[in-house]
Amino acid sequence: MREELKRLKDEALAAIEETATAAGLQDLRVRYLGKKGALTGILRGMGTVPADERPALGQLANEARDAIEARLTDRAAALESTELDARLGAEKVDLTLPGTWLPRGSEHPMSQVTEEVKAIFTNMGFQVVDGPEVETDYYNFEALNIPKDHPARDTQDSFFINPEILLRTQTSPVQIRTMEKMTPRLPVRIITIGRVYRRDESDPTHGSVFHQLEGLVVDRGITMGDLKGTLTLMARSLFGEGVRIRLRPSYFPFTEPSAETDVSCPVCDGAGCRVCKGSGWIELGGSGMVHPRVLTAGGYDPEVVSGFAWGFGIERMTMRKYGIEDLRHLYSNDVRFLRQF
Amino acid sequence: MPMLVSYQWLNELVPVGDIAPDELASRLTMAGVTVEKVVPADQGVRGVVVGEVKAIEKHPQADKLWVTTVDVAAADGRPLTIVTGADNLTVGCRVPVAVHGSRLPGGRKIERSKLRGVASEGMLCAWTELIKGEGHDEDEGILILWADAPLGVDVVPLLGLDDHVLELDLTVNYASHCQSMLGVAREVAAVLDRPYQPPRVYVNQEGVKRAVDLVKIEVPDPDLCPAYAARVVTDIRLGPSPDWLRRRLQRAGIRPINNIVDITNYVMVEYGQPLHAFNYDQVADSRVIVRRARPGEKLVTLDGVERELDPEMLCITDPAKVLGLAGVMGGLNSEVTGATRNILLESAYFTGSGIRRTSRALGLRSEASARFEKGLDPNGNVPAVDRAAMLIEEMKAGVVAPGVAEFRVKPFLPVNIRLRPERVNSLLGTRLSAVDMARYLKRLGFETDGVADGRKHFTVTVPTRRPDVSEEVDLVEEVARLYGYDEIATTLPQGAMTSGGQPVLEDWRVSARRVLAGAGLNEILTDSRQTPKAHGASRWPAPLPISPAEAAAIPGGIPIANPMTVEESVLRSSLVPKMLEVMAYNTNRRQTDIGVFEINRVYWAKQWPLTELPVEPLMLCIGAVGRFAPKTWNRPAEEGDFFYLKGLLERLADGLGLRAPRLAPSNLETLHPARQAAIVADLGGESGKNENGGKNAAGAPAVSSDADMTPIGWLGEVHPAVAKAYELPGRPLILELNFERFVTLSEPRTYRALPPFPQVERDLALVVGDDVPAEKVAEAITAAGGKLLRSVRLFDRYAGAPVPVGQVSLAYSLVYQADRTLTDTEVNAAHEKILAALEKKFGAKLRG
Ligand SMILES: [Zn+2]
Repeated sequence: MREELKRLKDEALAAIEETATAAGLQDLRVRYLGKKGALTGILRGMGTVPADERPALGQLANEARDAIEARLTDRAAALESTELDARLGAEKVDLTLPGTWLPRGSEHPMSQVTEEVKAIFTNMGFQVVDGPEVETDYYNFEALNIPKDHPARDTQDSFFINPEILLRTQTSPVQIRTMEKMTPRLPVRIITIGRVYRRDESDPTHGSVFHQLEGLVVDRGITMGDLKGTLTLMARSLFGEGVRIRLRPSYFPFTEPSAETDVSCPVCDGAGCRVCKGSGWIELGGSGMVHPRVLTAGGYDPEVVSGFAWGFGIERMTMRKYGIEDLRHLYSNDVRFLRQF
Repeated sequence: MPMLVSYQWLNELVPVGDIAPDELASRLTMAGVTVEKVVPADQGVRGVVVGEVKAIEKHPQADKLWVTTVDVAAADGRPLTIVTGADNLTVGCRVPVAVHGSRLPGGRKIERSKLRGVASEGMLCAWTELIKGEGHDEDEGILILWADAPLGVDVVPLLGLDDHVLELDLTVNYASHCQSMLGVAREVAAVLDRPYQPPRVYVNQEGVKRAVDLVKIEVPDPDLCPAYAARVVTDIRLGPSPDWLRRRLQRAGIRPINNIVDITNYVMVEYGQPLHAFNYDQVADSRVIVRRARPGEKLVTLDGVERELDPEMLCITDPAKVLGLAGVMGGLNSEVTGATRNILLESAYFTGSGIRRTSRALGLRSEASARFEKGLDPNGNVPAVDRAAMLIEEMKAGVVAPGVAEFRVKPFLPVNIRLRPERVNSLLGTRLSAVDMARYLKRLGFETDGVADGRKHFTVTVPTRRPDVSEEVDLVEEVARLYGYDEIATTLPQGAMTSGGQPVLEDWRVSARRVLAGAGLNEILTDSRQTPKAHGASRWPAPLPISPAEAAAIPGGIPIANPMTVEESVLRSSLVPKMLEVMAYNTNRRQTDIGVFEINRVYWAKQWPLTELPVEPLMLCIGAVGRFAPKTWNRPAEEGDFFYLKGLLERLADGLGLRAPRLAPSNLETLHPARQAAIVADLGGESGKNENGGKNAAGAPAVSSDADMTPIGWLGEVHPAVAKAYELPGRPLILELNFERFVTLSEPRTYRALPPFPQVERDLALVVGDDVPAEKVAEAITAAGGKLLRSVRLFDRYAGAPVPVGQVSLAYSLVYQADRTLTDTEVNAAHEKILAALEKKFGAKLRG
């Protein structure tokens, strides 16, 4: 009977090994382990065995059952895995086909640069404010220390609606409007971004409408050094850690001292290249210390507070950032241009 | 008219010879005198040398050519054979020779060549070939040099062409005092801390008749002419000026004419003071009267044009007639010509604003008027006319009568300004001493008094040639720029902390931009100005806050009084016209599938004519045409239609967290009559909200009366007639809404705890008449569904067999939910109730 059990076990294990389908395994399970299976058949003959041998034989029979059971499970798992592999293999696709199309629009490059600049200054504690594009002569000129007959009115030849109302030639009127609202609170730290209009002929770097970034800081003890520091911080956030700010004496009626503001060329670091036209510097725009008369017009006492301000062109910054050579592309609204951003 | 500064001339007034022109230019630029560019005066001429003509023979093959033999003191001693067409050569004359390998202006290279069969080893040069635009005529022939010009020597230094011209781009404040060689020299001296060496002026004081005996000056209008000086020159001899003077004028961009004109121009360049010469014998009664023109007075100016004068124009007159327009242009009647014997030399201080008005009114601008406009030194006129007198004497161009006839409304005194060193340092962030500051100011020729460290202030005396420096803060800038802006230390503002931020509307704008770009649209940026016809062409309404009569007066938008072109002559009242243009621009370039948007201001007059500023509301505009999804290998193309546009609106509202706006029937001419709607919103307050926060998936807020609804915009398919006018293909779509009003529909996003009990989904397929709006059905379902109904979503719409003609099948997906597990009985009851309500309201039947 021992021999019979061993033979049965070996036969069953071999048969399992040769079976290639789940159904075949099920047949084997019935044949060897089922109620009418071979193993049961052998155990039925247990009655003829002497009583003292029975426990040992019983254990042997259990071992055979366990072995067959385990092999059946392993074999079933192996077969399943092979089948899955075969099925998945048949689901092969051309991986080089394009991904499913999903819509992607774009924000205008001018908007992107505007948002970037706003983020820089709001992080520095500046409030973004707004002002009208159609302005009064008072806010656009008089309050900014540009009285009638001032020669600076020529250099900013304006578009008029009537003799007292015009399209603003600069964002500086917002300085006055803000100070009027805020006085006597300190500090004033604001920027404003918006359209300005000048009667300039349109060319690759000028248009009769453009966007200006204006900033104003007023507080006790504000210095020209603070102006340099603030603009350096802006330039570094915008163009990279290595850039420097350079101020050149200039003239604006609403600032004194006044400066043209340059940033060192981020491409050549000041050595001169095609981007900066060999000068090593890129012009950002005007800046300076707020003129005492402008502070007075805004309701602050220039003997007590001081301030700085600047006005840079967003178009120029955008062109610089993306290497756009002609300002007019920014207003072409050609979707082939817009989709690049 | 930029100021052109000869480097060599400048070097006579302040020693700069050891500083290269480019270096000088950058030093000046960093001190505020911007040098736009530095141009070499030799214009690239290289290797042109002095040669002597040894022989001249006729060209064997050409009548008009000569074959010359020219000695250029070559190393091998061999003379050159050169063919020329010029007729002004004689044997022995010395001329500029462009030998083989030399270069002429613009890089033109000279090489050996054959001219009609004769070898020519270079070229003999005329002035116009050596230098462009220096006032010589084409037919002058070859330039004959002086007899002792050294053979073989480079002609560039010999002719004074080894110079550079610095082209200044002057700001308004430097324009007055840097508009002269002396002014620039003074700046250079201050910037470099070097001596300023102006020319010494000496005028003959002998003579029988003095200027004051020869002319009487009367100025009845001193507001326009605060100072006037004149000298009289007799027995003038007109002729050419000497070479050095002609050369300097040319460098300054002025064409030499004759000695008298040249001297007045030279002094203008040197001193910045315009002079004018009148024919003295034409001045009736020897009386010069400077006064405003009388109504109807006329003058024929030097350019031969008769001009009508108005009483705001200042004139130089005598008792009988007008002699000239002060500071702008002389009269033909007093012109200095070859026949003129005696002249009156005027050197006046006219106020800039008066000259500007006259020059504007007549459209006349000159070097002189430009200088007056920028403002002059009120004390500069006498030294300038003295300098002119000295040159006239030196050049023997006439006999100068002693003295100056002069009018001066008052003495013009230098300005004293109190300067507080502490103020300078606190504005600049520097630690300069009072002594340092005084030293910088003295370099500018300002005088200082009471300078001592520890004193609170000192006095600075600013000469009248610096009208731009009138108050303390101006002195701060002068100190700063001589100290050097670069030297100021970089710091950051101290003071209270502030939290940055932006207006809420700006936040909305940023979000809207993100949502629309995320939905596949491209943002555009258009001009706010357009042609007056644009608005009418688009047929778009603009709900202007003005009366119909006022609106009719400005149908195209707010007109600009002085536009540059008609295309930019009105401020728009809507974004739609430009949007249509942008779509047409792109479709014309074969970009036929586009979806774009703009969020920008428009301009609405509050009255017309304007007495207060217009409102500038922010509008949002969407334009789309063609497919919004392309055909791809695994997806079909999707064409944009009305519901795509409506979907964008819903996505926008949902993305911004706004109550969905509703649509109402509209009848815009711009749009397809059957496929358009007004976007309406209840701007009043909280009504229009249902328990789903007004944002259930069907976009159906609870019922609110249409009377509360205000249109905030429109959307629809563009009317074929309008599309045709813009040459737009397909079925373009457009939407515009008032963004500021739109965002008032915002409501805070609120959190609802997730229900712990399962929801029950039931579909409801109905058949209703095809004139029943789907939205009304959804509203009725919501109303009848009661508390248990959580959401309603239309998922199918079908017309056609087996649905009877005139009817349509609508299928909704309903979600029921409660604070407990719902039983089938409860849900069935709710479902039945809804069906009954729909049957009653719309005659709806359950679809079998
Ligand atoms: Zn560079």
